[in-house]
Formats: sequence, structure tokens, C-alpha cells
Amino acid sequence: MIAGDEQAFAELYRRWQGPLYRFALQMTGNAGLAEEIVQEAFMTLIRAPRTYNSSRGPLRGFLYGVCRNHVLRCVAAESPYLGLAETAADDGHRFAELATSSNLLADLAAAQTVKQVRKAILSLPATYREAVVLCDLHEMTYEQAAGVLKCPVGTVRSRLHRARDLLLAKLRTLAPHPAGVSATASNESEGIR
Amino acid sequence: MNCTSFREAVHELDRDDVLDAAVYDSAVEHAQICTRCARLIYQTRRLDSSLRALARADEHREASPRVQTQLLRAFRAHAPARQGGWHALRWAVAAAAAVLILAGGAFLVWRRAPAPVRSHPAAHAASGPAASPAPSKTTAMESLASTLRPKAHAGRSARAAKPAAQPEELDDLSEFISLPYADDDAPLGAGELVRVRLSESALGLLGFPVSEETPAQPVTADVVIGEDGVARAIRFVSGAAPSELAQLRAMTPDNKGAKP
Repeated sequence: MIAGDEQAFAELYRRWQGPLYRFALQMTGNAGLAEEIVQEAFMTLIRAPRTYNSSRGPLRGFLYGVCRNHVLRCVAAESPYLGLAETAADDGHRFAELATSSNLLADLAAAQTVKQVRKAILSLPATYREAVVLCDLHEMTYEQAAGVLKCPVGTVRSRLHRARDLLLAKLRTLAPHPAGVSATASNESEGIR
Repeated sequence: MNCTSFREAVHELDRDDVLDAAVYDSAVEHAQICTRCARLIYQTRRLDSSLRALARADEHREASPRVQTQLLRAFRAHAPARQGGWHALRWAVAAAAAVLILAGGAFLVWRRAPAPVRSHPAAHAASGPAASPAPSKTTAMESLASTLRPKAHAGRSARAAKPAAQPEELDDLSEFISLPYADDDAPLGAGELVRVRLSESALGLLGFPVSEETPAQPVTADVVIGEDGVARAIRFVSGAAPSELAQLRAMTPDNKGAKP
């Protein structure tokens, strides 16, 4: 790619655009913004391909790191709730898709859960949000996430713990709990805090 | 394990290779006896399930093909600049290598060239108040170095490098005479010019003819001493009459530097 091989660049893009797009989407909640972020991240690679040094770590960490920088810039500039309407509409579209399946109630419940979790994640502070997105949604280890976030493993661990506590608390208030769970959950939230 | 430590570990119970087996076992044991912590495990697992559902819902989401098209266009646009930069870098490296080779060659030539002869402090002391300043002496010594090198140029070089200092003493006597045992082809290196007063008997030891009538008469002379400490040539300055000096020159065994 550094030598100008277009095929190599196309291959690299195909391999990584999906995860990077999803990361940007889950961090911003805005599909248009996520596309811009992905485009900007790859433009960084086009403009200065030698900024990536394999001795410093794997390509995945580098690409996620570049993407994260753009995400944080966008998050600082715009409210994450700007994209929620679009995302909610998108999830609504998925409702229609899911409604054609056999287990209608279960799918609707699943879609509702996805919507609520997405909303809860987007309402987290960015430092906690990125810990959840990387470790829980992108299934990174603490070490891999620490490489992307450029912080110690212990920091990732504590941020993730705090983020999940916050998510539990938010989901208790957002989600209609199944019978028997609701009362205990609301009592439990006091205990966790 | 108590409830506080259970809450610290609960988010890592289902995460592979994070908790020690012992911690995991004690957490599970605690949840079996503590209802609140058992509910917490249930809620945490529901959260994990919800997060997995979100990840599954998003797993096929990708940027639109428009982004790829734009990026490939940008890649093609940057390719000439990138190649140009690479070529420029190659030229810069080649130019730097050429400069280094030239500098190395110049250094080797400089190293092989004769080094200027240093003036010996004793020369200043011996020459007394009328001694010439150091720069003039250095000029004279440089000319001496060239006088002593190739025999074919010896006389010419010495004449060309007549020193400005002590004209009354060196006027017609500025020719150096190679000493009989001196190796003229040996490099002079950082040699020295030393002014000395010698008796005629000492001159005899150097192979010069000595007057039997006045063997102890002092003769002032400049002696060129090579870097190896060996005297190479001598120039008579005073203490002998010009006629006697001329006679001395005429009688030297190898009158290389003498004027006709």
C-alpha cells in the first residue's frame, strides 16, 4: 500500500471498514457521521501511510486509534443525541424486517432491547462508552483496548466496571422488566450505587 | 467473599481468563447464599445478553460503497505525489552519498599532504630580542619542508620561500643544507625549526669540514628536526663569515640546497 498498490489499499479497506464503521456508529449513534469518520481515518492512511509503525503494535490497534481520535473530535463538537432519531428510525426499519419472522414477540422484544441498550450506551460519558464498545461490542481484551485507548490495562478495567454499573442502572429505568424482576431490580439499583 | 468484593468481580465472572479460578468459585459460592448478589448476577448476565444482541444487530453494518469509491479516488490522486516523494528521497540519498564520498576523498588527500611544521619555542628564545614573529617563522618552515622534499625542486622552493623575518641574517644565507645522513624522502611531518649555537668541532661531527685554527668558534644555525626527532638540514645564520660559510657549503658532502 505504501508503494501505491491500489489493490492492497482496497483489500485493507474491505477488511477494516466494517469494524471501524460500527465502532464509530456505536460511539456517535449517527450513521452519516460514522461514515465520515471512517473516510477520514482511511484518508489519514492515504496521506501519510508511514504513520503506521508495525513495531508499535498491530494494525487493528492503529486503525481503531485513528478512528477514535476522529470520534472524540466529533463527539466533542456534536451531541451524541443528534443521531439518535436516525438510529431509532433505523432500528424501526429493522422492526419491520424482524416482524416477518416467526417468533414475533421475541423478535420485537429483542429489537426493543437493542434500541434501549444503544440509547443507554450513547448516554454514557465518552470514556466509559468507548470501554464498553471496545470490550463488550468488539470483544477486545483489556490489553487490546488499552492499546487503542492508550491507557493502562487497570484503567480500562475500572472504566469498564463503572460503565457496566451505569448501564445496569440506566437499563433498569428504561426497560420494562419481566414480572418478578422489576421490583427486585429497582431495589438492587440502590445497592449497586 | 463478601458483597463488596462480589460487586467488584461480578462484571468479570463471564469474561474468559480474567478472574482466578479461586475468585470465581468463591463468587459463585457467595451468590448461592446471598440473594442480592444472586440477582446482581442475573442482571449482569441480562446486560451481557443485551450487549451481544446489539453487537449482532450491528455486525453487518458497513460504510456505504460511496465511501470506498471516494477513498479509492483519493488514493489514486495521492499516488503520484507519493511516488514523487519516494523518488525525491532516493535522489536525496544519492546526493548525500556523493557528498560523503567527496568529503572522504578530500580528507584522505589532506591527510597525505605534508602538515605544517611547528615552530619550536626554543627557536624564539635562542633568536633573542631580534627574533621574528612566529607567523613569519612558520612561513619559512613551510618553505623548508618543501625544500627538503623532492630534490629536483629543492633549490627553487627555498628561493621562493625567502622568509620576511631577519633579512639581515638570512639574506643570502637562507639555503638549507641537507645533513649527510638525513633521509630526504622521509616525511617531515610536524617537524620543528630550532635555532642553535654550535661549535665548529660539533659541525665536524656532522660531517662538515672544520677549521683547525678556530675549532671552538660558535656558529649560529637553524636546524630542521623531523617529526621523528632526526635532524634533517641545517642553515647557517651567523657566527661565521659569509666567505667561510660559502666555503662550508662548497665543502659539504651533499650540497643539495646550496645556491650556485
